[in-house]
Amino acid sequence: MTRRGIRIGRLRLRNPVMTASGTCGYGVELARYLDIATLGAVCTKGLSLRPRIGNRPPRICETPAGMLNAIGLANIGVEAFVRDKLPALRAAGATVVANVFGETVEEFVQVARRLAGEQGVHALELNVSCPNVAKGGLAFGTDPARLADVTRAVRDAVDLTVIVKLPPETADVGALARSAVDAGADALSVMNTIRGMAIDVRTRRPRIANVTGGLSGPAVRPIAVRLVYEVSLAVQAPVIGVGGVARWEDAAEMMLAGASAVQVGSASFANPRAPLEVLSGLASFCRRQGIDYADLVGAVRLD
Amino acid sequence: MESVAYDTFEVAHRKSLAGGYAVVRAVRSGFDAEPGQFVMVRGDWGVSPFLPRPFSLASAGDGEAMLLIRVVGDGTRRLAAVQREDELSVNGPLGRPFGPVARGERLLLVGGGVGIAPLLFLARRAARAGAGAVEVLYGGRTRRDLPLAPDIAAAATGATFTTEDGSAGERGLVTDAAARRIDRAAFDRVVACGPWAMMAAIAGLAAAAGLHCETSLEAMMACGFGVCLGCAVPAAGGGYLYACSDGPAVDAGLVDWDAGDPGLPSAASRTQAGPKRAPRCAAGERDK
Repeated sequence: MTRRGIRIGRLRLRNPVMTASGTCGYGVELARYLDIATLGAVCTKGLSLRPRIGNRPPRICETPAGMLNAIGLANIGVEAFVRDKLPALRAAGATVVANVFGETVEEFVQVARRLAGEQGVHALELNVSCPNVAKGGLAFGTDPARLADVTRAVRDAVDLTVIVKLPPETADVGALARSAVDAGADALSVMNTIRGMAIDVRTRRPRIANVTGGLSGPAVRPIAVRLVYEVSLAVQAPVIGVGGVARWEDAAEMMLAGASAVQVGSASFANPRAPLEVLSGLASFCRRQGIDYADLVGAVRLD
Repeated sequence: MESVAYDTFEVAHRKSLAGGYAVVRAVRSGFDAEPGQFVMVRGDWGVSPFLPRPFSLASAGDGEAMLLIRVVGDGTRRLAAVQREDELSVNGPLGRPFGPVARGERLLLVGGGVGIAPLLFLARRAARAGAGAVEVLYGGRTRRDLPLAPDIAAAATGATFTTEDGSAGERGLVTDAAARRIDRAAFDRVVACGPWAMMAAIAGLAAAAGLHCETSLEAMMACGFGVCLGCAVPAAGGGYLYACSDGPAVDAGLVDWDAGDPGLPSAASRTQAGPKRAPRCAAGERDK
């Protein structure tokens, strides 16, 4: 049966289905639709040292089987999160992964430290792969040396489980993953959105004001599955599969590719109960097969 | 707020109208909402179109939701063609409703295009709440763009219709009619819903007349319940309002109407982000 739990660093998840950062607000918004304590974890919107108002609109547009976004990491800031959102997450009994963003290594460390001091934050996910901000973001995530610097700085500053969220756009994702793990990352989230662009042919204008945005949704899932596969071969650390998971079959696919857990992202926009539906479908599948969740991890047949 | 749900509704009735419009009534036991609230609607579409579509409720109550649909793309084309007993996924009711109507309150409702939908709902509830007057100004490009004209005429104590081509009602813009009617002696509140430029004009007229004005925000949105942060609308004094959670109904004074339609990438943003530049972050720049 499926009761062993999922180990991500020092964190033990009750099941492998989490929400993805930026798709469930601060977690509390989802509590109107489902019991967030039943999920493996909820992963917050990226939190920065100071509030960020985000990019100018339009920020999103729909694309085939997905969407582009350039929100620009709009968020209330780590202080307001701790003060206004975290108590409700604690009260709900949720397992909380706080997504951390900084424009500098020092900011990453300050946000991480602030969160590590609070009860109810169970792990940190470092956002070193946002494609929609001028500073920070991809600048860290695509350079193995800078990735190692920020990972090590946070690792040395906190005792919490540290997850590093990798970008898809890199020549050698395995090298990037090794760099993060060697610097102390407990786990890797694979992947962030892929930069894309859409143009309104009548106005000849980009459909989002930022010109480019991050592509998400089922359209990108095969890319995420491939990256999860490559990263899981490159490192021993657990991999969290993110990218286009909308149904339980997608979660199972990610796990067969090598993911120990998955995050449900933009599917929650269309159906706020999607994470729960993915979880219950996956649980039924494992029950029918007489296997544990862990038995799926990396079990793709290549013979 | 607490009655929000994500649930399956069944189509009870669909009426197609000229000009690419349809009125759909969908039912789910116990459904109710306040005027100004909206729902996110999607059919069994697989993975494309990916996102649900937002609709201000044109009417709600007794387990029924009424939607006015204008076909503008693939999702609305499918929704405008639903059949009786089709199932729809509906998230709602969502967002902030218009302010409550006081007994004796005199309302001037100004609607442009599909922006009329929440005003029909408000007109009906206002009559029930004992409003002193519910006058509606309803404008469209042609007579076919006034699909709810009969419903408005029935619900309002007075209705004026305008079309840009003069094919129905007065020739001209609804803002022209509003300029003649907005008067502090005649009304206690103006409520506007329609294109950005229309609402901006009404907000300006109401402010000049010293009249309280509410507007209903519209923006591209993915989720409708405050988590995607896509539906940003420039706020007076800087920063953004979120149409889905700060609105849709907001006091007009909270909006930066000079910022331009948030649905359109501005020429400024186009010229400032050349092909070789890193993706821009307005937040990062403004935070400094």
